[in-house]
Amino acid sequence: MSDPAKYRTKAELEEYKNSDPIDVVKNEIIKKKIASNKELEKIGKEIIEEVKSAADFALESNFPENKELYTDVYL
Amino acid sequence: MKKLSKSDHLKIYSNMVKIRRFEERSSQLYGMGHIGGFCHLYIGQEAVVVGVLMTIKKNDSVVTTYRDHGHMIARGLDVKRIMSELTGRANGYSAGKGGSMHMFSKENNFYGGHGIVGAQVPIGTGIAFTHKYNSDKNICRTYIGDGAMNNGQVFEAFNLAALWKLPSLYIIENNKYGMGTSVDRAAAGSDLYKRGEAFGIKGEIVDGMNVY
Repeated sequence: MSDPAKYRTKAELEEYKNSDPIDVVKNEIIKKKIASNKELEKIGKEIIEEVKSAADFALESNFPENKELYTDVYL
Repeated sequence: MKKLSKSDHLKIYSNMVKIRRFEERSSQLYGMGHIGGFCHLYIGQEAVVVGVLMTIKKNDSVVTTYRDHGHMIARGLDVKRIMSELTGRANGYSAGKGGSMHMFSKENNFYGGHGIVGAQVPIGTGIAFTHKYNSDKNICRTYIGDGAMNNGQVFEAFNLAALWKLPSLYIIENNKYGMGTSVDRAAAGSDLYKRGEAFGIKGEIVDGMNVY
């Protein structure tokens, strides 16, 4: 991990997980009957696909060419 | 605040979920060795950037810290190209050479992604100066971590922003730890939002876990 977050206690992490900002939005939407759980699930599924295809796209893309080593470099 | 429509609510929800899922995937790719260097995730802070960006105009500028993936997603940038940048590919936003911390998209008025703590604050203030100089009515939104609030250049920038009355909005994202050190151990006086008051910059504290 880039940041193993050893500085934060497990208890504190759990406390914040329990006030997850996405749950706050979800609860508000459901409580006020703005959209149904089903609609939100559909959005969630579309996003999973979008992120998956973005990751696939990235991993299939080419690395920069060697000559790029010397562009946008200022000394 | 104006009343949110159904589409506003769904936009907020989908942007926040998109950031969360993107970061989970980034974490996996980092673990698999596809992402080099550092990789600072935005999980848990989604409400901050999504809330602020609900009020943004198309030509407003944004500049932020190294925890920048979520900021780019919320700005409406292409997740494919963000992921490409993370994995060092040529079609990434910084041609694969910036990586996680240094992503830019000038055409979308997104000025990075800065690895140096606090360095984005004078830059954002300079961009605000450009908006004023050009009289284009846009503002620059500069995000600051709690760690940077103990950084000298931040106050130099505040001074000039207030003196020249620049169209600048500073958002302190206080996640309680700066490079792993808690705010209480690093900052004298923990009311970071009040630190602009000496310059006449009004500060307000909001709950960053609640987008409303």
